[in-house]
Amino acid sequence: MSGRQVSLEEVVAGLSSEARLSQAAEARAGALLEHLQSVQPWYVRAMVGFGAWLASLFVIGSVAGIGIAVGGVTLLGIGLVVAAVALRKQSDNDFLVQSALAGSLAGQAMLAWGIADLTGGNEELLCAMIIAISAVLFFVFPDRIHRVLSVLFAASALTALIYLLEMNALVPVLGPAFAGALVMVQEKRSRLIAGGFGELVRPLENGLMLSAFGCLMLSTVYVLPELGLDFVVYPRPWISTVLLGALFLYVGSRTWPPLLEHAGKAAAPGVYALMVLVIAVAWAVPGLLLALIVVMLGAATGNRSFVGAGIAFLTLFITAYFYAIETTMLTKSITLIATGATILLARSVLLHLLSPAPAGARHAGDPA
Amino acid sequence: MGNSATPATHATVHELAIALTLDEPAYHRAVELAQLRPRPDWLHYLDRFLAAVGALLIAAGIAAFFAWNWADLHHFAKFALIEAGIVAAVLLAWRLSIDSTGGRASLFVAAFLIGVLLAVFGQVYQTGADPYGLFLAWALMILPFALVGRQPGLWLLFQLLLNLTLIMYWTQVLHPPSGWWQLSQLLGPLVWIGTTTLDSRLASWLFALNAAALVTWEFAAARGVPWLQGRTGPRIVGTLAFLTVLGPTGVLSVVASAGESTNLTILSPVLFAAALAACLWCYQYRKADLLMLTVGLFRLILVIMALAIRHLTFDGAGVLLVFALLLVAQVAGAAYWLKGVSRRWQAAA
Repeated sequence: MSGRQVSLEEVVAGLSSEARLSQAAEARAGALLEHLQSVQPWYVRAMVGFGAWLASLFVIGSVAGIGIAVGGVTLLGIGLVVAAVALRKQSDNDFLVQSALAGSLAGQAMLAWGIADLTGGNEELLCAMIIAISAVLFFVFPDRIHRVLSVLFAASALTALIYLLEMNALVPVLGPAFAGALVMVQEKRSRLIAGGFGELVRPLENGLMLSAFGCLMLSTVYVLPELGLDFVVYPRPWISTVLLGALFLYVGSRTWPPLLEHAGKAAAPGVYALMVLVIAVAWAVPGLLLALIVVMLGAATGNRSFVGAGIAFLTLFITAYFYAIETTMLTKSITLIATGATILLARSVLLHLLSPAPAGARHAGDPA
Repeated sequence: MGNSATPATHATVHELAIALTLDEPAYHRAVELAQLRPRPDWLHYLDRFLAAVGALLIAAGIAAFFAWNWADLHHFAKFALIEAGIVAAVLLAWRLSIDSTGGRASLFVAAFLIGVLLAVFGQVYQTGADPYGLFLAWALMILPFALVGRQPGLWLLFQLLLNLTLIMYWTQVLHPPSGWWQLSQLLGPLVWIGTTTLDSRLASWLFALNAAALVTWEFAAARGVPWLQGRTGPRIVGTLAFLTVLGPTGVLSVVASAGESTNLTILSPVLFAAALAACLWCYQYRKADLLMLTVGLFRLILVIMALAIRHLTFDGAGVLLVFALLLVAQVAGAAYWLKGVSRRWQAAA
């Protein structure tokens, strides 16, 4: 994760020299490298995307302006989604990709509206339908962003369904469940790619990560007592801490061993003791553990997006937590300083435990 | 195919694995070859991560502590705290060296705290001075920092303060707002500052201020000043310059007519056209910058769409379809042209 940046060309050359690529695969690698070189920079794609979204909304507005009969919204929604899927399968052109994305989302919104209309506002059924539609579109719509959104829609609908069914006790389990699924997908990544499911892996990982973040953010929601609501948004956050703590230790058990090879004997027990200490400190703050899990997953696989997302979530979560928590500024101040000091102390202990013994270290009895 | 190599990141290695349907051992080998596994120097990153998180939490805790009893503090204590912060930040910058990342950050914090000190001074003594004085004094007081620090961040802060000084001087001394313009203050400072550019005269002065800064920056960068070689600074200043004339041009295109009553004059569209022409020429032939070309074209598209919305007024849903087609044509044309420019640069390289 440092030093000179290796190029993809070097990776292909390395695989090729080790006879891991067939002739056909080498040709495909050449085509891929050429394709990656010709990809427009993000800002050109952003401009094209903006144009496509706005143009799609103009078209949708134009169609909607014609006037639709009862039930027509549902049919129009289905039509838009089907057309968007067909369009996306036909082309990788930036403009058409974004148009298809906007068309599909507008179609799904119309479809949800139509379903709500037809079922007389049955919210539970609507949530179930959103989960089903998102699950189907995850496989059918061949677009990375759309797939991430499908996972997010399904996760949001599932969370809403749990609240609607008044099963709030399950809410603290949701975030850890999404995080657990994320860890599982990461572990099966190479098998999924070899099995031809590679296109699904990254959107699924990103969707699960964002869903877990969203669920844990619910634990920072503070309902004003003055409102008199008999509603607990996130009951017993310690359940999340226990589940995420177990996952934290599991991810650690997969990440640390290769890194501790050159450290002393006390390193492994010391590291796990510190992990348990972190779990204890995070008893009421489960988001801290989720952020650390995501950072560890990212660091272990060279995925800088995950490292960045974990750090960003940590900042957001701690800010939201301390903003919402019902304590005085003095208590918040003491807690923040104590946590910061603990982390700095943990850093010193970790560095001491993990530093490899220097070459030619003095032995007992050597002259000073 | 271009000349530059594609970096082997987590994402590109994944793309490669999908395209070649790599089996499990080959995928793991590709990850190893790309050096995506943590390397022996990972301790260095862990050290920095934990140090940054710990320091951030302690800083937030100190801020929370002062927020807890700020109102009860004697004003001398408030001044002493802020001044101690400035001195500490300057000493830290000196200790770490002003060319290091930590030194640059410390010097920037010191420059920022000067503004906080001036604001608290005004709060305590209620001097009755116009707020433009705060921004002007702040800008002048950080000028030595910017000269010594040689970092784009400080010059950007200086430029921002000059913009705010001009806006405040115009709106508080020369032409205090009235009517709906005054009402926009209720929507927050950012909205209000945005609406101040709907006076073409102020917008033109702001444009001149930012355009002059941009030209100076680009000239110095072209002369080889090492700390001005990054592109973020000129892009921000260039965007500011464009924004000051885009707002009045866009509004003029959609709703208003040029005239005394609205303070929107033909000067803004003229400056917009001049800025666009200069942008397309300079960043194509003098200093290759595809982002600035994209920004320029995007703003042209916005103005053309604003004109279309004003002038294509026939009834029915069909007009939306015309807007969609017009937008598609413009965006596709812009992307095609940008691709051509990029290829031309690659061929010339």
